[in-house]
Amino acid sequence: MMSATPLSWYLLLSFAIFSIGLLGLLIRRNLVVMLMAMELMLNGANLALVAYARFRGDEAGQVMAFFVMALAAAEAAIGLALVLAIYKHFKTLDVDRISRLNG
Amino acid sequence: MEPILFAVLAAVALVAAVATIAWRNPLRSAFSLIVCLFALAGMFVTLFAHFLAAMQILVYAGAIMVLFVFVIMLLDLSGHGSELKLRILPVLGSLAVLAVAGKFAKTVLSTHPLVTDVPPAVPDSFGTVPGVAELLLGQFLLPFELVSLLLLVAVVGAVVVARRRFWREGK
Repeated sequence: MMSATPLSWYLLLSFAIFSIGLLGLLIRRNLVVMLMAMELMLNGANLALVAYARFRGDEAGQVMAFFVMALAAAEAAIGLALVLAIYKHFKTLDVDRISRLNG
Repeated sequence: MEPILFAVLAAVALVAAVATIAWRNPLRSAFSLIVCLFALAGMFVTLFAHFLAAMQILVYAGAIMVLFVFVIMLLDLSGHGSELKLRILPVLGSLAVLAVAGKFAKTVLSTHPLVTDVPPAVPDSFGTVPGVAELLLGQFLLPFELVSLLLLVAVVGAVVVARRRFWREGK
């Protein structure tokens, strides 16, 4: 038997990676690192999709994970372009100092 | 054999994920994230998602992370060390994340899964290029085309956003 690992293990790992990404998004103040934490969250969700695809014998979950990857690519392109623009304007990537909309 | 492989890959993925958010140097974070992505690609292989594993390495660890490393190199963030200035923030963040994680874990462990824990036998083409392509270019053709449109819009948008300030300063 190739896949003897129970589904719940994959799901637990998946939410662990998602939680680590969420933690990074909450506690880090650097925009680039926050974007990377978001990539971690997307990957955690991807793992759950692929695990369910395997345990249901249905490839649709893998197609969804593929779409998530494409969306992550779009998100990284736009996000990093915004990071470049913000850095040029504010000369910093610390989100605590980028607070012009704070009133 | 396979649970051992899972344990190794899971340990690597978890350590690399923690390292990603823990390094002060963004470049180290990026390389830790690449390690994490590779471990997840290995896990995709054990789940019979061969095509997706290849895409994970090519698109994620390749293209997206190169973009990240490129931007980090371009910006030279070494002098910006005001990370975690507010000591209250990590504590609050950890508490919130622990609450969410506990809820997730409780749900995973208490519900009967939609499927059995014994994975079904799958055909040889499962997760390979022909197997995925049949769905991707059949049932999911419309979303597939929309994603390509989205990527085009994102690339054009990224160029516009990144260049506009150049123009204003150039005048």
